[in-house]
Amino acid sequence: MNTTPRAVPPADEQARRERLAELLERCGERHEAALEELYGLCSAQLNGILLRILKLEAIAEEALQETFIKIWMNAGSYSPEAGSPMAWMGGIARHQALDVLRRRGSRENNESTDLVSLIEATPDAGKPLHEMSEDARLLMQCLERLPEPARDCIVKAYCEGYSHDELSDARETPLGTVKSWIRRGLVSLRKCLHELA
Amino acid sequence: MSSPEEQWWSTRAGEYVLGTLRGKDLELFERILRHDTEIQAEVARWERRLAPLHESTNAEPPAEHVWARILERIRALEEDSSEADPACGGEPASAVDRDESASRGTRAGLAVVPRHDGARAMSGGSPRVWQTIAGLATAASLALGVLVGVLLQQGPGTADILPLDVDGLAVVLSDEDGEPYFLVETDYGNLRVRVTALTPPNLEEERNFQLWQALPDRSAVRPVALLPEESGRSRVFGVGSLIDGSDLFGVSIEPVGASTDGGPTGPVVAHGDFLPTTEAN
Repeated sequence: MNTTPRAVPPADEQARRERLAELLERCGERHEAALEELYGLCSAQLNGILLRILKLEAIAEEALQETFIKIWMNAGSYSPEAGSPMAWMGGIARHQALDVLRRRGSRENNESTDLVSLIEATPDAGKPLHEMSEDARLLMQCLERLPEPARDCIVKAYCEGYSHDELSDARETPLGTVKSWIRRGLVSLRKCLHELA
Repeated sequence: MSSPEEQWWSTRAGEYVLGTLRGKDLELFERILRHDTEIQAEVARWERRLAPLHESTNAEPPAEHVWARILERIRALEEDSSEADPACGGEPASAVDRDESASRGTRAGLAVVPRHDGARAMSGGSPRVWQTIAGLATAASLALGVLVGVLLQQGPGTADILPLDVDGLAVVLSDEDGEPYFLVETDYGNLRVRVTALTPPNLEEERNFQLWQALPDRSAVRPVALLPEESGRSRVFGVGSLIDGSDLFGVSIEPVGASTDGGPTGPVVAHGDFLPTTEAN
């Protein structure tokens, strides 16, 4: 029987990033042991991403399988230009979850996420902003500068897979207004991150 | 400061990463994404920008049986790929790879406009019939990318892109929101136009899309042809005349059989101006 792989996490974030990149490279060369270690290091976080969007464990499990199949099949194409290994894999997981949502045509419930609850939900809940990773700190700073509707829509869309229509319904706001909030928010976010970087 | 076009594309890429692009918008964007390395890079940048939000995600260890299923599936995949392609020497031959390689066929002689080539905003002085529609440079670029995507996605024998000696000019007709409806390419030498339907809206019964060309001074328009409605399909029309020096086309919705001598009788739903074309690699 194949039990869930356990992996010893690297000592720090940089070491973790490097190890994940190595594992992806080896997955691209079809080393099963590399996928096993990758699964041990990342499956819980990727499953968390999927669960936050899909809500139901059984559906998230299926999506997690598909996510790792895609990681396995596409690992050879990973490069650092595509972002950190975790960002790359998280992107695969998110798009898998969004595909599931689109096929199902609905979400399971309307539990919502906002920026405050996101920060409070981190493993380091209560950690001051300046102790977050640099990227996270900058992103949070820029998100906080956005008008509340834009920030809320962007966070809900990214973290929970809300569509324009769902955001429009949730906020009881015309669809065009929601689209405009998001587009303007993205423009401001990009500008802010560029300025602060 | 980035140009409006870059900003537009960046925002579109951001929406893609957010997951808010749906339906036809998503389909179009993904077609472009497969072939446009600049858009791929911008998508990657947005993935990097937003990825820190994952830091806030609670780790949720999956059930024990999930790993066993993944292992079973990747072993089956590897067996399938080695049986299907014994000459590949163990290199991956995933379904994704096969899909991509199958879509990379090129169509000789097709004039393709690179995304950033020559897009320009509409100049002023339009006659009133055109004045309600906004500038379209970015939408024009999108539509050209879409055309490339449409062509590359369609296998041999399924595409309906007809041959035409394009004179080096193309025009994308888009609506006020920048959604690309048609690509028009002109053959002045033979007085023909090729029109490819990109993403035109559905028509009610007894309605046609009518193509118009404005006079060079934009004081009036002349009818050119009725247009195809099915996305990805093209039609070549012989036309009585093409107005040399005119860089503005538009599309209206007309009742079937309506007289078009006096100009549009129905709403003008899309327009656009010329872009210079270049040969595809």
